[in-house]
Amino acid sequence: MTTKHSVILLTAITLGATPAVSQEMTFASSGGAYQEAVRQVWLNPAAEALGGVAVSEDTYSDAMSQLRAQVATGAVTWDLVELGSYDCVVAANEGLLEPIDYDLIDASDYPEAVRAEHWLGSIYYSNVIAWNTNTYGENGPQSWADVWDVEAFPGTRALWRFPMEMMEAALRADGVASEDLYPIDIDRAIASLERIAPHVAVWWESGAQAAQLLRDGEADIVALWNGRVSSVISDGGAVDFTFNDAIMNFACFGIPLGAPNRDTAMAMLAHIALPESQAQLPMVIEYAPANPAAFNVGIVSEDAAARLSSAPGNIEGQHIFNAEWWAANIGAAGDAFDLMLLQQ
Amino acid sequence: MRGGTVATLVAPALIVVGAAVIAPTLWMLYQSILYQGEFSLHHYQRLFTSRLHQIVIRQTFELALTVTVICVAIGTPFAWFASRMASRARNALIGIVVVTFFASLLVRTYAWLVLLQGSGLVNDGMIALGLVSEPLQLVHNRTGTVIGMVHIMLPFFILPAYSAFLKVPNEIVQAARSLGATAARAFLSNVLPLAASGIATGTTFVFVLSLGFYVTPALLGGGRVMTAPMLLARDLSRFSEWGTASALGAVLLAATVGLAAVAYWLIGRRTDADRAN
Repeated sequence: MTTKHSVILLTAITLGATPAVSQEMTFASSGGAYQEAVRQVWLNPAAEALGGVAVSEDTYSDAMSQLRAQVATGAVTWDLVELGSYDCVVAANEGLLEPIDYDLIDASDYPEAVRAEHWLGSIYYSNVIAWNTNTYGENGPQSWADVWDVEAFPGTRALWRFPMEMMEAALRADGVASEDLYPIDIDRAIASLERIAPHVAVWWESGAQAAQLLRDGEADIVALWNGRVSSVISDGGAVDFTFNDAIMNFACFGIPLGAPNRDTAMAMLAHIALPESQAQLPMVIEYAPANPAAFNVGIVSEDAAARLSSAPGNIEGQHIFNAEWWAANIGAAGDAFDLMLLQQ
Repeated sequence: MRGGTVATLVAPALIVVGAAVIAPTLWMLYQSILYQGEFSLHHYQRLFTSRLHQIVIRQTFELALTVTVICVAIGTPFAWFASRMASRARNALIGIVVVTFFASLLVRTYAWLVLLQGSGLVNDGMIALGLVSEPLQLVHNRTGTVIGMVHIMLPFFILPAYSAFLKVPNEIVQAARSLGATAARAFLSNVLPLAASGIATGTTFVFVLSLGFYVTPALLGGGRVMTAPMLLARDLSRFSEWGTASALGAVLLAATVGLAAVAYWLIGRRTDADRAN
């Protein structure tokens, strides 16, 4: 979509200002610096463009339980909620979300993987290969096959204690091509994980813990989300990473079924989805916009883009997470993964 | 006090307990026997046939037992000697035990992580002293989990044991010794039986609370330790499997209530026997 078109759309949203659209709405996300950034670059400008919508915010601790409770009791307080990719699919499957109005929201630039009938991608992040530069210098592992190669890269590993993203990594290490990752061959992924397990010092439980392992040199190679790695680097940690072979995951927006200000939320989302809005996010926090057109509007500098998952040049060697597969298979995959770990 | 007054005073607590404990527990039990909208023992069947769930339940009980044994072994001598000291030293020792309650569990767990890791204070110290040449694997495994849990659970054993020992008069030990008992014999045959109810209370506390650990094994276990509460959290918040999680919750609840009942029965018998003597 060209800039001209988006200006027209923007004007349409603003002027078309359907009288039915209410002047208030509630947004919910996971809080912290991230939600502050979203408020600053997405919510406030969109609210202004719609003629001054009063935006209330909520921060959830357990999004799915709260969403289920709201929809089940008919006491919906959220109009727009941001969820992890997996939760979006589960919420849609459970009928907890309104369909997205793609006549109003132009998502034509969004890749298939990050838009669906009931949700639309918000940001990308990647589970990348990070390493200690005291151990490997600049020449750290460049692929999951390298991470699994303990002769070429002797040292300890730390992987996420969760089947998602790690099973994809294990399959890549075992030589599965990017396009053949799904449906995941659980047995093959487990066999691959069993091979690396003796060299895994820690199966980390939280991002903060993984960042500490990386910073303190407790593990030489860590699979971790790129935003976390970047903050270790900017704190002066002897760490480097690559986007090569990374597992790219995303978060997404959904509108709870029966949201009191559904139309306002939809109009807000239409504004947020514009490439010009999308491009603002990396200016304040290191998360990549879900709309790839954001890199074509001359806002994101080359330096900033170099650190973003979805930027041209970074995205090519990565694999997009398939939340649909996981939503259907988490039980079997999760049990196999946990059992594998307990038998170490 | 008249019955009406008692009822009025007790009512608020009963309402809170009813709404916050009893109702959710009943709801949980109901969820555990519901499968695809019908009554079924499906979730219990899954619990007892899934290898993962079996291993986790076994590991949870093994971990709680290990922690309990270590707490009793460390805590009993500490509580006894503390109870025999002059009041100032005694208060200082018990003060140290109580102070550990002031720091949050999460902070203490992270502190152990930093102390015990490969380049942590403990390993660096031992290497500097020449005790070991390579850092020992003290954390990210079951050892680290047990160390962290013992640290957190120890006060729950020491406090009741200490208050029981405090009630044992010095004369008992002196009388036993004057009749030719060794110090160890005097302690085992005379002191321990008198303090048995305190020790049993502490042991029950530690064991029951140890069954409920989540954060400490999650952070210090390096991913290789999984307790029932971790499995519960996984089933609930990540997989949304309310039925399985409820069944697991019901099994844990039954085990805990059963153990507590046995412990109180033993303590009660002990106390009755004491009175009879």
